[in-house]
Amino acid sequence: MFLKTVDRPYNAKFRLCSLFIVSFYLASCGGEEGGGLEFNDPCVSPDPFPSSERVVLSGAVSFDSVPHNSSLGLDYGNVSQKPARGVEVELLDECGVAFDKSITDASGGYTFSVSPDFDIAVRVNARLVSTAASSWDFRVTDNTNGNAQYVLQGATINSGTTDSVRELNAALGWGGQSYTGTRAAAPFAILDTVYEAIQFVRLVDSDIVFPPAELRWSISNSTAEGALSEGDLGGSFFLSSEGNIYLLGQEDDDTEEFDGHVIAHEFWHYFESSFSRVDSIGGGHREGDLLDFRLAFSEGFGNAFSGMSLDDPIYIDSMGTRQSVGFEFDLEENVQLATGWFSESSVQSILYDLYDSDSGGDGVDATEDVFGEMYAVLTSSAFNDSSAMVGIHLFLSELKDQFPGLAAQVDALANQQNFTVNDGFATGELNSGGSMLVLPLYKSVSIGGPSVEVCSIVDFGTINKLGVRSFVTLNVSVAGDYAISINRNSGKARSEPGALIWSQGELIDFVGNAVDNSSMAVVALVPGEYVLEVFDIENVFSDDAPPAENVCFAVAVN
Amino acid sequence: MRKNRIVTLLSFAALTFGVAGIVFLDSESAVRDFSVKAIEKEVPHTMTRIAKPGAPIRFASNYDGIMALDVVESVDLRLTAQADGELRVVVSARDDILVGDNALERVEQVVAGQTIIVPVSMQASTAGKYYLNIHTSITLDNRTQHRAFALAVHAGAWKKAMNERAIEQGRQSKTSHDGREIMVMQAAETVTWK
Repeated sequence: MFLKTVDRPYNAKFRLCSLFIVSFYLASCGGEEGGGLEFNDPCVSPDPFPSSERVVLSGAVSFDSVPHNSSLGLDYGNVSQKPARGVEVELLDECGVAFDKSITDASGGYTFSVSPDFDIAVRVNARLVSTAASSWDFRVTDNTNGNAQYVLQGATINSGTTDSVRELNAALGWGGQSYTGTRAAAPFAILDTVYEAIQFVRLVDSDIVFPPAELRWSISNSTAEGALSEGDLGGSFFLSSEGNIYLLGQEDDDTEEFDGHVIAHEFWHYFESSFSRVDSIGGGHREGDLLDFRLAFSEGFGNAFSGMSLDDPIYIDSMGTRQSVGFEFDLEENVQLATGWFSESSVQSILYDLYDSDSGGDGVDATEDVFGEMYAVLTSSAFNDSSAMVGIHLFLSELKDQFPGLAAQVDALANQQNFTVNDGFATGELNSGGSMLVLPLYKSVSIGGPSVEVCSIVDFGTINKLGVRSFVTLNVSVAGDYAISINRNSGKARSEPGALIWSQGELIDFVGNAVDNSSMAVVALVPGEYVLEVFDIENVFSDDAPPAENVCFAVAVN
Repeated sequence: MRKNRIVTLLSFAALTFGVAGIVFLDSESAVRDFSVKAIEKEVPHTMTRIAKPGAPIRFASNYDGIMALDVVESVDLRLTAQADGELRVVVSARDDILVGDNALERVEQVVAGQTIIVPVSMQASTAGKYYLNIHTSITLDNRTQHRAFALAVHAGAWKKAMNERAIEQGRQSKTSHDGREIMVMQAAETVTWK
């Protein structure tokens, strides 16, 4: 209930408490701190004074920020305060009712005009919000406490009769060897990275509307696998089924709040899921891996995006006891442990080189500031509706087609990473990663024609590594029921062939049964171009060899 | 602009085909197998969690997560390297649950696919939920990457203990006047009047 009175708010605290001389209200009105008044008490809020009689309540919001040290862990000896930019600030009356709100500016500053001699608390929501034409709403919430939103609260203090300044800082909570206080800085440090990412994207699309999302963080969020509500995340990740990002926070294990690149990387997954097409199959990965090309593209772009949005090519992730260790990689690095269209390192190197202004002195990186063109491709129908699956070939070929002026530069960068870009289907690709069984990337089968042989190999690992899944295109000109058969040709004696049927990135159907060495399905298909993703089920399911072993199949459609 | 609809479709497909499999298995099985097994095999395609970059190491253990009070529990930690290099494993716990050394360390040269087993013994005298931290790194060509793992250890009547502790601590979130659940953190605040 929100009542108003026409009385002047003279000594409002005294007056209101006098009105409700009941013991529990006394407790409520008695100089509470930290949002002690969060009940439905029948408080009375006054009408504001005329503007000529008001006073200015201004200030700034900041948070403690921790840099990385030479060991790539967190350097608690060099804490600085940074402005909390773009966050929502509310003014609360003495009963905890918000009666005005604003957004901090780029310096963390806020300004309100308030009635004099009125008891007010400043609350800062861990929320980046904009309701303008370009809008967003990102909140930091606690998945171990019912997804409650973090707020930073000041004390209830009388506004006085002259202008005043209230500076609020979200403290780190570090006690020297461990966290001993509330880790209030963390939600605002997370939002600071998101703020950077939002502004970076808005540079190329000032009207962009971001779908609301939560960044779920808790001091209990650990690398143990288990229930999200207990904080056992297993790792930081974007959960596409929710559209939310989960971030680690348990000390001595792995914390993310000051690892901006990790947060920006996960923000990329939110971004691609919201505005583009994702064909990535997920799973564990690292530089040096020869990956499924869809995963390599999504992860490499995520790494590159983190560097672009933070304008910092050094990706750092800290962890361990007292957050004292970490690792880094340089997005500018062009010499990779694995080089090619299946390498997230190659993907990130090319994309970052297209963005940055540092030529690297290698004679290849000659363009800069191409994120606008990348954004145009990522959101284009040609890219999103392509029959080819999303990978670096499709992306770069669209970049060349849509922006011909970049073609030579794209080709040079791709060649530097030892692959060629002719079209989205990797036509003419010669980099096999060491196994010719992975080329051509797409084979073709025709209805009623001869079978085509594809393989599911584990030379580079299982599950999501290069060659585990093979791709076959199928053109259908007449709608009908078609029998798709997959039979073992060679390789391990007991295989379980399977296939997913894709149309422009949409899963249409699948082929798979429990019969060894053979699968068949009759599938209703309308005219169009399809991609069959063929694999051995054990090879995509098992980390062990055997049962994961190389096997080749004959694929036929009738 | 287009959402990623794969997961939704797969979930729908799994649900639809799963039900269809139960109802129509006999009549359809000659052509299609929509059995639970077949659907479950598709799980690797429905990953909705995408791991962050890190060391190519997989972790598993033979621990079921439950531990009786005052009984030593022996657990094998299995670390599988997915690349060649020097694998370093450090096992520690914030609470006093490790029997023997407070922190164990193993360093080995490994090849891709090699699994090393680190046996540990744990014991707890108080019911609760604890964590065993396993910090790993792998170094190859002077490049080191790390990955942290943890094992949740549930000792004794841990749920009851956690509930009792939660009651002692009181409700951590509050309901604001506008109905939001909030976690209130105190600001360090300075006020000046002009």
